[in-house]
Amino acid sequence: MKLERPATREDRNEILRGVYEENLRIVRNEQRPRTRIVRFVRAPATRWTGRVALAALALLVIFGGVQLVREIQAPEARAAGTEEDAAARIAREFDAGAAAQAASASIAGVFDLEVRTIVLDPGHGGYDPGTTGRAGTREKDITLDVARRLRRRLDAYGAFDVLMTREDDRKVHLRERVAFAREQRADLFVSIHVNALPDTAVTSVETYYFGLTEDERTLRSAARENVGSELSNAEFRDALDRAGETMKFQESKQLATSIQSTLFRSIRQVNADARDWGAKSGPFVVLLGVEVPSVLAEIAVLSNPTEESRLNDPAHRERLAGALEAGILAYLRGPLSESMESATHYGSQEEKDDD
Amino acid sequence: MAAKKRKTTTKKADDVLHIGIDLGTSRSAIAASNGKRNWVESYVGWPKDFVARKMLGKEILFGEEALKNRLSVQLVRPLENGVIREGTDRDVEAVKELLHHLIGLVEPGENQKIHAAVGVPAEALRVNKLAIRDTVREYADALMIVSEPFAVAYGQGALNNALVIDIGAGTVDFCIMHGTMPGEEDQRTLTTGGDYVDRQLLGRLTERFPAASFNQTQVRHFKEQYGFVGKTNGRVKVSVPVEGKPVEHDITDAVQQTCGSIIAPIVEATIDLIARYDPEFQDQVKRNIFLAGGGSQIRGIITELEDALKEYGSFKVAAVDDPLFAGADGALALAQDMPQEYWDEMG
Repeated sequence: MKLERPATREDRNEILRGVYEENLRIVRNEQRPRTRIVRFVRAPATRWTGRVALAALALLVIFGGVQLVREIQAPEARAAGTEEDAAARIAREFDAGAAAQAASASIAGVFDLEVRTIVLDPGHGGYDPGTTGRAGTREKDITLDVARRLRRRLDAYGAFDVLMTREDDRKVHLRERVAFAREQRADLFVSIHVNALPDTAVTSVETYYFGLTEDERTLRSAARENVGSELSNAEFRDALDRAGETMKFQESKQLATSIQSTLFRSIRQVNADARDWGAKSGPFVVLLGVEVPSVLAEIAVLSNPTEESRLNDPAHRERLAGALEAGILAYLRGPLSESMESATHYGSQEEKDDD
Repeated sequence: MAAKKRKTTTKKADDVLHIGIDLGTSRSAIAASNGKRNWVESYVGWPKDFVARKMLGKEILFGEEALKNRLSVQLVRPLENGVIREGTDRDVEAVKELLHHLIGLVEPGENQKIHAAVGVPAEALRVNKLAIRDTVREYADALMIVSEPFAVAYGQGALNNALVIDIGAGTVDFCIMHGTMPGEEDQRTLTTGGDYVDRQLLGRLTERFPAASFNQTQVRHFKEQYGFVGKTNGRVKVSVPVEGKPVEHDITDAVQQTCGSIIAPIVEATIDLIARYDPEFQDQVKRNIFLAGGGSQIRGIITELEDALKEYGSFKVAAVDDPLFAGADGALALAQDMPQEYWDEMG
């Protein structure tokens, strides 16, 4: 069915120029600018851990903005002299609004935190084969292969330093993996594993992140500070620390959710019976020690003979790598750019009013 | 300024042969501005040893010929799941040879410059773009590469408010056109293409008829010949040897279930992709969906897709006229439309 070429000549020229520019970028090995992806400019002085304070302060600005807007919108409520403490009200507002959004989006995206170094951690290795399938497939081989494929895919963007905790079949202790991620100043840490389950008929996908519980006190403390309720230095430091914890937790959760989603969707395409066990927290030492968003993905189940057979197919391993890649990129793209713009707008409004 | 530049660099029509190539996982096609078109199965085979070389009388075989002599050759299908298979030298060399062979099929003039636009699976463009470009460059004076669904869209004139779904062997590629060069956010790739269907079908048939000797190539032919989704009026019966004797097998259910398994992921990806745009734009795109690639030839697929999409609104799905050449024709149209000054930069 041929269309009547509805596009205008200008449209066509625009498209041809786009093709030309895209090819120029390929020739020059440049990255095509993508929308809503965090910028990948390395800035050692303001890397993840060092940016916690900046982020926390920005949170305070948002809270202030939320409060300001709320007060502008509802002066009568204020005049009514509600007995609710202002800070608590802001905290509630944040909980209900910004936090709800943040739960479905990336704070890294909100604050435009860069992600440059991605550390991939293929589980097990050397004398530690991990789990072994009935046909002899070893977890350590699958994790290494998928990690290599994932690295190749991420490398293709030319925007990341993609490193691996092991490049070959050797044992790397957990503490060494953690130390490697720290030394390399990782911005993201993705540990790849394969599961084994007592019920060999089951295939599942699950992604873990380390974290205790969401510390709402951190957010409330920040909100209180913003409306003038002074904290001592110690309290402020404590709040910053806990904000950092919350950010790592929240970012890890977001990354895990994103990876889990793409991974499960991908696996469901080849196995309608696969179970989505979700993104959830778990006490994994390797995640605890890493200070940046970190997840552990159980990408497949080796105890299931059919799944084991699939894992021996390079195409399936490529599919898994593709799903992990998609999950990481989806997380990086973060749908909250608009929300950040709103937050920034609130800040601007505040400045304007102050003027 | 641009016109002046164009005047100084424009070649006489006969000096340049524009070609469009669809470098596919399963089949590759070429269309040229001299009116010649051809296609070949994307297989490359090198004789395994001296004896095979002497018997075959060739240093290298392509397509169906390579497939037929697979026992005597080292057979390479260089694109798998939409990317250069393992990125090995052999795979890259196979892509080069395949392209060389394709270009030879359209018989460029001895001194003619070749300006080639090459459509590759969207996934390959993303992952192997530099490798593919380097591979093709050897045989073209200037070249541009584009994603396959985009080439199809361009050829169809579906440049605005349209969605192209290219159901290929390795991947199913989605590309939304909205009047500009589509970005990554406008595209999706699924790996539930023809090869996936073949593997599923082989699995089902082997399970259902354990005594019969099915193989992948045979199953692919069954799919291409009898593939359907939805309702059928007749039964699909094929003759496959069991212990050396030809035995008729009814493979209707297996074919129906396997081919039908690609519908759900396509629907999911379609909705996921369209839902990201403004509602007004969504409605227009829903009425402008084009199916391309070998999978678009599966009987009943349009009806089945429209039925499955019904709960999300009113969809109009159509198959492109000439799926085998839609990508190559589109790439050729793009090559011919491309201003000369752009080609000058692509040498």
